[in-house]
Amino acid sequence: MQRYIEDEIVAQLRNPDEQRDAFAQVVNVYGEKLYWQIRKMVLNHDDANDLLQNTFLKAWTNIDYFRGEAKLSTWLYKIAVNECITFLNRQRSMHHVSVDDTDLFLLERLKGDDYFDGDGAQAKLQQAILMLPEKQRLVFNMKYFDDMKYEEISEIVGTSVGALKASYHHAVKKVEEFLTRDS
Amino acid sequence: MKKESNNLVHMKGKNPFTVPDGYMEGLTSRIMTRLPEKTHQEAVKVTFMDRVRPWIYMAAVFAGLGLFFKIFLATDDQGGDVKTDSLFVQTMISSDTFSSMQAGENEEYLEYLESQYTDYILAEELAYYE
Repeated sequence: MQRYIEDEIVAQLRNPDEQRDAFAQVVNVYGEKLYWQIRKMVLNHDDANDLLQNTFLKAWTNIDYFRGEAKLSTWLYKIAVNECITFLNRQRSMHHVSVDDTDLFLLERLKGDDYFDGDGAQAKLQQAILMLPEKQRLVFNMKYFDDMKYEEISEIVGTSVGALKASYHHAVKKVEEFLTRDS
Repeated sequence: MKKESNNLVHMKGKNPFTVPDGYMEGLTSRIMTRLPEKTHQEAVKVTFMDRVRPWIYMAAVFAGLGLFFKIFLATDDQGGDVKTDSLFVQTMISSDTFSSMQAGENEEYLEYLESQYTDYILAEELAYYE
């Protein structure tokens, strides 16, 4: 979405008569991107679908508080990331997994997911990503899969660009190490 | 390390995840149908009475409290006076009354002294003539 169009949509979002139509445009533009971002965090399609719905529901409920100081995409990504973190914390507590442990229970869900079409190498990559701490995983997904700019990730995650670069560097090292360990 | 990097480079851009058929096509409409309608309420006009009403209530509360204290404290005072009077009578004499009484007593005393002195002088003079 170009900047000038985003400005138009933000203006329409403030108008009660045009708000719903403008929000539909927002969903149309960002729905798929957010879905994939969420999917890479939670792996399972049904969970990703529910979280996407919750993300837009929260955005819609709080749209009157959006002042346009940040980009609309950044605001939506922030909501989506928070939804993912809340969901993963709930799942960890259900599976009696501490925050410091790896989220390998997600791998089991992935294996049972009909909508995972990856080969052995892809499954191993997902396992390697699951071994990362939550924040490194988030940064790795945004950078490796979506090729997002560090500045944009910084606004979403609330961490400095320098720290993000270091985080991504460590994440890549760990993933590479895992991928070559048993190969 | 070169081989390790190649692993990631090789897999980059490949998406192992899939979605149900037609999922992305109907995504917007599905999400939008689940969003609740928003009711934009018109701003309620605030009348003069609405603004003054809290002050009226507060004034009424203070008036009530004042009346309460006046009734109960006044009754207590009257009852206290009666009780005190029945047990102990205190005579209150004003300072003016007291000074006038004292002045009267002094005058009587002076008259007494004067009459005594007169009798004494008169007795001495009569003795002298004898």
